[in-house]
Amino acid sequence: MIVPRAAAFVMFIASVTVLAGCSGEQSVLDPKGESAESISKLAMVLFAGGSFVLLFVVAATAAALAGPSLIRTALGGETAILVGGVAFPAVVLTALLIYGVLAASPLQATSEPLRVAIEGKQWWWRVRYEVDGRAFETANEIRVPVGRPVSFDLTSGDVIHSFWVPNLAGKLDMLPGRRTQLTAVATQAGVMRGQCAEFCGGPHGLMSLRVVAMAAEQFDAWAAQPRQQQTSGAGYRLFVAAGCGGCHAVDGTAANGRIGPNLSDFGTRAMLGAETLPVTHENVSRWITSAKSIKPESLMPDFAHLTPDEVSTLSTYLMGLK
Amino acid sequence: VTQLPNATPRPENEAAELKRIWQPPSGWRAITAVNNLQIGLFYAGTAFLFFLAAGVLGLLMRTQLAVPSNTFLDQQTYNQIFTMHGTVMMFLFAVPIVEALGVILVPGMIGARDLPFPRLSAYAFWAYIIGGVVFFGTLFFDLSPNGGWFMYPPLTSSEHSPGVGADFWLLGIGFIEISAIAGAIEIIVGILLTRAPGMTLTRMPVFVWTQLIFAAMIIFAFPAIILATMLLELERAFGWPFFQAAKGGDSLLWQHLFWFFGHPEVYIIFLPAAGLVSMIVATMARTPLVGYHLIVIALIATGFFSFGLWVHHMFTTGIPVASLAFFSAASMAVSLPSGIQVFAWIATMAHGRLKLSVASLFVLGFVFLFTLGGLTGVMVAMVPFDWQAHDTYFVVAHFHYVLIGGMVFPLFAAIYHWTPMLSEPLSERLGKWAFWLMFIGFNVTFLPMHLTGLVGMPRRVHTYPEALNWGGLNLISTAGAFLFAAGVLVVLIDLARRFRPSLSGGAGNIWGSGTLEWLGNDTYVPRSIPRVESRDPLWARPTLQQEVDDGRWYLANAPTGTRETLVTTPVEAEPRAIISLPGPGYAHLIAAAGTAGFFLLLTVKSIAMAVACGLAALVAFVVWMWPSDKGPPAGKETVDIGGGLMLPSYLSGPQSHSWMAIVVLLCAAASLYLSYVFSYLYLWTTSPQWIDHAARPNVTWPLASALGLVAGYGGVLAAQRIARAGGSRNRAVVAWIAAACGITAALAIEVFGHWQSGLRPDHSGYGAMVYMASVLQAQMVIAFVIMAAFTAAKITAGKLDGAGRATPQNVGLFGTYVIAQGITGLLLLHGFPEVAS
Repeated sequence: MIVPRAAAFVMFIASVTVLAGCSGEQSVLDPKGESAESISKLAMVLFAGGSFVLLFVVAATAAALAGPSLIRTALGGETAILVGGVAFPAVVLTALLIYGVLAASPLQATSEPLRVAIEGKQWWWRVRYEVDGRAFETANEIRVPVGRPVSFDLTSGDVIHSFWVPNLAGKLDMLPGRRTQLTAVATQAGVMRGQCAEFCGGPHGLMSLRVVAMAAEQFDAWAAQPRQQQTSGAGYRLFVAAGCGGCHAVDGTAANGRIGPNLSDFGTRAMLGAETLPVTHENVSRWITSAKSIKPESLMPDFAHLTPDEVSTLSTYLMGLK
Repeated sequence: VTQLPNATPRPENEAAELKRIWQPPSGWRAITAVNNLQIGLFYAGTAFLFFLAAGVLGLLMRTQLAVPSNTFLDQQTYNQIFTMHGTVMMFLFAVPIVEALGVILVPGMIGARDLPFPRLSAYAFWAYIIGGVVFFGTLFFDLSPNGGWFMYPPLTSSEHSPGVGADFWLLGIGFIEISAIAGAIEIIVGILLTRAPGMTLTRMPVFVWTQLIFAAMIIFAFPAIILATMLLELERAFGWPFFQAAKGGDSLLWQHLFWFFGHPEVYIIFLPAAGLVSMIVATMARTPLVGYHLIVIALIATGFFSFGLWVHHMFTTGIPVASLAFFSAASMAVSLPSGIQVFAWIATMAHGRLKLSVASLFVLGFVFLFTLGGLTGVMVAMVPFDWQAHDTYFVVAHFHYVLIGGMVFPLFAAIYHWTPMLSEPLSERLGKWAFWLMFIGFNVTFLPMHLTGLVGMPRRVHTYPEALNWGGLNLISTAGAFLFAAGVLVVLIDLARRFRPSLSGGAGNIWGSGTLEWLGNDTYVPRSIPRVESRDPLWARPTLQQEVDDGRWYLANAPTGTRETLVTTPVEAEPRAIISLPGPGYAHLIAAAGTAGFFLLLTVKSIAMAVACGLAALVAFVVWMWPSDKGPPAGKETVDIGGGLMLPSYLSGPQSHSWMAIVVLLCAAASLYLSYVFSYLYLWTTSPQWIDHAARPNVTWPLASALGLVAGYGGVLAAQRIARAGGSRNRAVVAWIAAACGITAALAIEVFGHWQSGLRPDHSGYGAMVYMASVLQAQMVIAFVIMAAFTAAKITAGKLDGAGRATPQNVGLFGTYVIAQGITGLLLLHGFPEVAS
């Protein structure tokens, strides 16, 4: 009785993971955006149609092997080939093609879209907003208003990346020297996870992002927040003295590096290292001293020469940037 | 035919004489073998070993992904392993094994004694094994490429991939593709010119059809990737910025070229496998294939369509939706010919009664898996669905269904089906175990992966966090992969216990098949070559085997005392001549080692050694070719091949096999050049200021260059005229020298013209593209100069006396192409900018 039990176990694992998986933070089958919704519907149609055709072929094969002679005679000639292999797929595929072309037509923006420029970098995302004529920059976490079209202007700063937030919309590549544009509308508030979908070398598997869809009023309030940070305190002085500002910018301060992520709102982010670790005091400290062992090949140097106190001061400073 | 050409009894020593002439080299001298059965077995065996090796890489990947945040493999190793898994499976396993099956089976199926250029297929094999082993070996020295089997720049540029890994990929794979093209030429000429009398095109076994289409597709598809690898290697080594957007290149150019090759590649692998299935189904159902004509039309249609689909790998690159719709439609249309084939197999099974051998089981498994893979293929051909599924595990599942289901299952069916041709049969009991393990293991691995992709897991990630709940699905896939591997292991055990290939025949036609490959019982397969009057000659004429074995049919003897095969006309297969084939030797072996050494040493920048290897290869080529084209043996200009049928023993001109080989080679060269023209025009479309008008030479330069080409053509024409008439040696030599000088001068003038006007290849994409035309022209010019020198040397040595010899004709044809390509280049580089501005 080992075999049925093993089979039951596999079925159990499978059904648990299926149920758990479909409603995931990064799942095509759990849409929270307009185009993701239409694609998820399309997927269901395709699955149903595909299963039907597969069953039909299996049944025809079974009938050809062991069916009654009447059916086998019907199947055993060129007419059956033309009906099953040409006429049937031609009709089904033409219908599908029309459906697919219609579903692929771009979203018609009903209002002026919010513009968000995203630059893919090895291995993080630079995010630049322009709201009411005011531009500001953040990284790896994108806030969008629910119900308002958002136009993502996608570029790359080095190699090819692909911007993919499955709950929101399909993916679009980020190509050096080109600008691609993806328009999407979030339909419900919540957190969605996205990930780079084009292999971009090294820790490609650790290049993820987070989209936070929030009510429009909340979003407007967030976007209007002042982002200038103080230029005083032990943390700030250490940040500048250690040379962090060579790569990172903190708005309103002397730190204005462009190589790494802008940290002006670091303390509001849930994750660090492009969704590699949750932002906690301990993780931020580890990241400062040993980013390269957490995310090998990342361009963040290991600040191993700092004392534990200094590291702790820096972490506190960073987590206070809100 | 009721009257057989030969009477019995045959002369006493006739069979022994055939045996002596075709005696395969044994012991360590087996490496000098050239016979298709021997080379085919080496070839298939090597490709199968690469399948196992790349399979182990797959298992390592599955082990790493079995649980979240696993540290079994670090990211660097994982990236190398997935790159090598894909590259080795595609380039060192799939294409070579299909070509190997062609080398083993095609001559037998068409009733030929061997392929028309035995040393060429031996060369292709040795180049492949040396290149392949070194390429795979880079894994053990941490030198493997890690940019994915698709090698997209700029990730693979020298800036982002500084090591030699990418160079190993570019030079190693580029070189193995050249070997694949050599094999394809051989297969095309063999199929079109050496079929048994009466085997018209519409009587050809389906597998032979698929091999013909497969080889033609290689000729037209592989040059695109060869050009792409040349461009990227030039960018890496010398900074020619073909793919750098900042300098007027474009990274998408690589993707267009790669997929223009890459999509046909899928059908290159699949079509011959479908051909195997057609043959096995007909044999096992004991009835002629239902819908033979429909299948052949479907195969040709697939070959055509497959060149119009490449953009469906690029649906997410931001190409306008309107043009995507075209490629979406074409991608769906290609499922029609597949539908025809599936229903033709079903119809054949319904018409006859399928014997459930192991081969049949693998075929039935194939029908299920391939249909499923085809349906998910229709899904990803839907543009919006692909925006989500692209580069996720859904696609990984899809193409493993198509490739393992569509190609590996038929391959295992073929192993069980055709082993009795050369050995005792494999075990039907073990085979059934193997099938069920593989079938269940495969589905357990890849069916859940569709879902893994849709719940968000991208491809090519070395790990994933636990929070995303992908662990369970991945664990199931990993378990399935080991189950599948266990099935393959059972086959290995079976092979180890029973596979004892013998060139003097195996168990014989135990399945009662109707096609000619089952006739043979020695290296020279069929004892005599029958006239064929139906698609399944062994079924149509039950006495055929006996008649052939008794030597009652054509070419029962060896009239010129050498290895020979019959040349027939391409369509109707009426006897035209016999040709003499070479036997074992070392020259092709040294040439292969030298070529491989040249490319591999270039990779590690050991220039002097590389040049030495290149020269060794060149010398070996000359030694190889020097004794060829001997002309008709004295006193045996025509010979009796049986029943008083007198045929010439020497061919030249457009009817000859060597002429056709040159034509096919030139098709590949033209395809390479067309890919270049596409690339030039493509980069031109990326920016209105792409052409640097200030750096264009004035019109006297292209005119002077054209004058050189015209002078070269005069030389070629004169040399041809002298050769036709069998004229004076000295005048012929002068004509060849004039031809070589004119063509070389034209190239030099073209390069210097651009240089003096200030254009540099490393400054802009435009400059790089302009000089690239001369790079392509230079490789043809070098080949032509060598050929012309070789011809002149043979003329001087008195080896080409007499009218109508093949060597000057073929070299003249090659030279004419080089001149035409040169003119095309001048028109593109100097004429097009005028029109475009």
